Amino acid sequence: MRVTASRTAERLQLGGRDRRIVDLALTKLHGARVDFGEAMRALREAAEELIPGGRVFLLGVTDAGPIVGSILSGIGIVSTEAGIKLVHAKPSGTVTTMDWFAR
Amino acid sequence: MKLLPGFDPYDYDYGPATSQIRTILLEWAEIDWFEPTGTTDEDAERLFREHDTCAHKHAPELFAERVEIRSVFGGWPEFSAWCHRVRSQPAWDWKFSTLKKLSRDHATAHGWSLESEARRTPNGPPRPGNLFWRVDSAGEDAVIWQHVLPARRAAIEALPRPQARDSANFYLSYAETDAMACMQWQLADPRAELAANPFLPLVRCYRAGAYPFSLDRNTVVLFRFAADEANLPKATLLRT
Repeated sequence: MRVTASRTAERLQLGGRDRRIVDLALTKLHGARVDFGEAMRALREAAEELIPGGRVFLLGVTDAGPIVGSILSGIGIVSTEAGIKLVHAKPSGTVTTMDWFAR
Repeated sequence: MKLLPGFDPYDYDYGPATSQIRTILLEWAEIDWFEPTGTTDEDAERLFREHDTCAHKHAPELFAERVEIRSVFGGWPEFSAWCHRVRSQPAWDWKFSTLKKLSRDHATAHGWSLESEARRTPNGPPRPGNLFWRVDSAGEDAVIWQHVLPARRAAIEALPRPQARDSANFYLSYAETDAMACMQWQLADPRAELAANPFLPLVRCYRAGAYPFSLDRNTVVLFRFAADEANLPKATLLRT
């Protein structure tokens, strides 16, 4: 899977805090080929660096795979066969795909 | 509305802090969210002061020695208005300004990290009562928290109005971070008395039906849902 490092979160409809975390996570991955664990680790490190006490969570498991992200916003990543996608896990239980995180 | 866990905490081993973690999870499951309770102003304020006193002891630079507490009542419109108020405060976010820092500093002081939990976290598909999830990745462990608290979806969808659903989701998501911080506190220092955990009185505030809204470092509103009778116009309560 290849990280779309050129695709910054500014192009997505993210809140400021989520945008900074996603951007830093993408920067950490340097466009390298990564698996879901590496993407998850980068997201976690970004959250911890930008927010004192920042945490990312396994939010749930969908048919596509585990969703890892923020309890507060529901923004996270999910692994699919085609790559890792940025998603919004909404309180209603629906998961909206926002963009590619890595592929 | 109660949010019931999809697992029995007694089926899980959380290491040296197992007993305390189970207590926290069970107390969380007892919370009857957004319902009137028989809690008095004094009871609610005592719980919040327990939190603030304990937090101040650990981080006096973050927490005031004595906060001003205002107890208020209302229904969903008022609760939503308070949610809107604290979400609109540009310079103060209770969770991000103080509580998360308190949690992080305590973990650091005790040398606790997610990696330290990796050793007793099984690799493989997540189980509902596990606090952490670990996957092997490029020869290293990748460990994160698992959102172990009960799903709020069904309960929130049952609320009558979109504004109520949005406010409930906002408040619950923030309260959940308190419960997770409460558990992390015990994991980082399993020998500590649960009564000395500054996050436990917050969980107990919620259980008592008292919902804190921090307006600034020195001022907190404790909101409680009013029973229907209390919502009657005052004129009907006057003696005739």
